[in-house]
Order: sequence, then C-alpha cells, then structure tokens
Amino acid sequence: MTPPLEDHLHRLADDLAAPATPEARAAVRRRVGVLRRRRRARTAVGGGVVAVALVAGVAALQRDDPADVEMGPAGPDTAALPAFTVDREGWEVIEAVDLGVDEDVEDLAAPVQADPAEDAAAPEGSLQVFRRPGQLTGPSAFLSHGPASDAVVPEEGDETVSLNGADGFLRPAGFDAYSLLWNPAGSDSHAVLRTYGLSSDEVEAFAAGLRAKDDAISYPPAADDVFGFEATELPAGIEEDPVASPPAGPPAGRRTVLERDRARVEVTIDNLGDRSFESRLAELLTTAEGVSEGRVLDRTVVVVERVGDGGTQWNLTWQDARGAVVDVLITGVDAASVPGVAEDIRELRADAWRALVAESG
Amino acid sequence: MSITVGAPTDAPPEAGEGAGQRMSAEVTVERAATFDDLFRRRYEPMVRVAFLLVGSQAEAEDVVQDAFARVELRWSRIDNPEGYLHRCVVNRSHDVLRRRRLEQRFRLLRRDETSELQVDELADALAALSPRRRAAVVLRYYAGLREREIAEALGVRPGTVKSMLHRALSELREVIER
Repeated sequence: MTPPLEDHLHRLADDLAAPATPEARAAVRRRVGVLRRRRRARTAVGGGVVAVALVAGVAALQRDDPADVEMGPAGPDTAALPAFTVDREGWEVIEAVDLGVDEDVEDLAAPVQADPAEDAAAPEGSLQVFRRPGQLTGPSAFLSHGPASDAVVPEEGDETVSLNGADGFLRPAGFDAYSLLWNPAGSDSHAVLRTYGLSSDEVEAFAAGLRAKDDAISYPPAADDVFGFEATELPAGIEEDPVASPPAGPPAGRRTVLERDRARVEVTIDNLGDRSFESRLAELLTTAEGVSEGRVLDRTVVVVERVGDGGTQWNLTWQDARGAVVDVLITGVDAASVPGVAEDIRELRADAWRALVAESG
Repeated sequence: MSITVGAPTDAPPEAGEGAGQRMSAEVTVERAATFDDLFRRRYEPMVRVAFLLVGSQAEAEDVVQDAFARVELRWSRIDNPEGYLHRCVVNRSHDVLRRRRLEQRFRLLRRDETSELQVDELADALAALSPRRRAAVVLRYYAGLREREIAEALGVRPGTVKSMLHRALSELREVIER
C-alpha cells in the first residue's frame, strides 16, 4: 500500500517536465564559468601568506557558552545585576539563585589557578561581529580567531574553499546559516566564521577578503600578538559592529526557573558583556529554525525558535541598559503562548530578588 | 484527505508498487561514470525535488543548474557526487527561500504568493513548514533518501533528521486534519 504522503508529493511534482536538454547543459557550463571566474578573482585578491596564532574566543564561540569568556578568578558580584521573573498565574518559581563560585559562572571563568604572568603572555582570541547597523536579526557574521596548535579537520560533506592560500571548510550550520573554519596560511591560528542570513557565495567572498591584522603569529602566542582580521569584502549593507572587551569586574550571574505543568521558563543573566551577548547570538542564529524581533521591558529582543531534545523551544535574548545579558528559554509551550510569556516578564527589585532566593532555597 | 504518518525510520521507502517503484530510481547511488551521465540521469528528478522545495519551476531549474555547476567544478574531488548534488540543491533552495522571505517581508506579504504548486491542502501545508523540515520531508518521501543521506544533505546528525521528520509529519497532520 502506498503511503498517501508519498503519493501526494508525486502528484504535485511528477507532471513537471524539465528534461536534461542541451540548453540546460549549456546553462550549467555557463554557470561553471561564472563560478570559476569568481573564484579566480577571490584568490587573486588573497595574496600573501597570513601567519596567525591564537584563540580562546574561537573555543568560546564554538561552544557558544557565555561562560567560556575569559574572566578573572575573583568571586562573583551580583549586586549590579538585574533580576527577572515571569509574573504569570499558575507558574511556580522552582529555582532562584545567584550564580556563585560553585555555580555556572565559574565554568565560564578563566582557569581558577590563573597565573598573571601567563595571562599577560597569552593574548585573548578575538571576536568580531558584522551586521547591518542596528539589525540584530539581519544578515550577520561572527568571526573568531585564536591560537591553535592543531589543524582544522574537515567533516564529511564540507565544501572546500580557497582562502588566501589556505583551505577553508564550509558547512551549513542550520537554516540560513553557515560555518567556515580554517587555519590561516602559515599560521598556528584557527579562524571560525559563523554566518546567518548570508548565502554561501557571500560567505566565501567575505572570507576571501579577510586580512589578518597580524601575520607573524606562532604557537604559543606572544603577548604582542594581535588577533582579528580586516574585512575588505563586506556583503552589501554589512558593517563591523564593535564588540567591547569583557568588563573588568568578576563574573556574576543569576538564574530563575519557573514551571507550570510541562511548561518551563529559565531566565539566565550574566554580566559578561558584549562578548557573552554576541557569542550567544551567534549560537542562537546559527541553530535557529526561525528568527524574529520583539520587545520586552522596552528593549529590543531577539526571538529564536529552535528544535531541542524536548521539542520546540524559544530563546528571548537581549542586553539590558546596564549591559547585562539576559536569556529567557521557554519550553513546553506552543508558539502562540510565547508572546504572553514575554509580556509577563518582570524585573525584580533587589529586596524582592533576595526574598525569592531565600524562598526557593 | 488523510496522510499516513508512521514513525519515520531509516528503512527505504516501500518498494514494489506505487511510489516505491517510482522511487527505486531515486535511491540508486552508484557513482555516475561521467558528469554528463549524472546530468542526464538526475537533472529532471532534481528539478522536481527543487520544485517541491521552492514552489517555482523557473527557480527550481535555476537552483539545480547552479547545483550541477558546483558538482562539475569539483567532479574529480567528490566521492559521492549525488550526495553532494542533494546538498547543493538544498542549500541553493534555502538561498532562494531566504531571498524570497526578505522580499515578502519588504512587501508585507502575508504568505508565499510565488508558489506555482497547485492549490492543494498538502501543498499549502508543505509550504508552511520551515525550509529545513520541508527539505527533510521532500528528500525522504519524494526523493526516497535514507535518514543518513538526508543528514548529509542538510548538514545535520541523523538523529536530528529523525526529529525533524517526526515534527514535520506532526505539523502536516495538524494542518491537514484541521
């Protein structure tokens, strides 16, 4: 018995006539010529050998964990952090906690046994972000660069692209997203370009136009090594959006978890600044099934729909006026319920937060 | 109308009758001896796959010609040209849908008005799926690919394909039975 779905798809498409005519073959040949010319042009633009080294940011970006951002070993200071909850009838706060030295923030911090001399000698990897001005959900490129003693290994199915004398490995990273990984030629460094809303051709052209700021880096990196690239081939309308260095203070975070039946909301806040926000955004955009913008508490919020282990989940992510990075993860609800949850997000006064922590503890 | 939606498995589509027979040619994975062999054998089927993904014959042919060009460019270096072709068709189709979505957003259109797919509940439901889920459904239930092959085409893990298909079929069933 033929499954109706298969039958139906065949009824929709099988009548379409598109024979492999000489004209179609000629069109493919023309397209090959265009692609070849485009690649030659990019390679010619390339030129010099780039020697680079480094990257802690690459690993952080790849894992997209704000905790991966290097921070000092000092204890947390949550006093300046905002606190949020969801004021929704029937929802129960099952956890409200300051993330301390034994909590998640520590995982993101620099090695506990940090050696100041070693830190000074090991420059941090770079993270650069390119997007249309003010458009967090528009076409975006997140570029990280750091030290590496190992070569990038391609995965099956990767498309190999030529990048200024090095092989880059391009792979789809989700709907509308690509990852491009490479070791800049002659360098011990590792670069990762993650994009959203750009075509693969745009990604290749952008990557081919990247020029390392420092072409004399070897592993291990030295204190005066500089990571990052100058972008010479930006996609139309895209500009570099500066990413501020992590704040000087100790890492701190807060987490609130609410549940009602199968529905769950986790609100996580950290003080790790632009880098945390951009790393999170890179991860969300490059794994998204759907992306949109919304408003929460008068801030522009990136709303991302993803498919997780437990089904569809939504992340609402923003950076508040104080620079705190807020991520609200909503699971176990249908899409129609998400705006309602967002509308019910409330900021808590310091004393209310302390009471909530005490109550939930 | 009803849609039979069993739990997706990695077993090949039913063989022997109906769609199974039609798809037996789709799942042939022998490496074509030459690029032109592959082109002659796979051009029209791939246009049909792309048509189900983008809903327009002209854009489907554009997508497939571009995909074949990329395969020809890398012919000597590709172990599995057909798998690579699927991946290129899916990626190019995503590019088309992304561009169309931007255009529609700009025009404030509420739905896909460019589709040439016949007026049909299933076509509407298919168009309402996210592009990746739509691709998973088309590659599985039209092109007859296995989950592993779909995973390669979509650049995801086979387990993710299973999840995508499950969710896509749930959505299709919801829409059709509404």
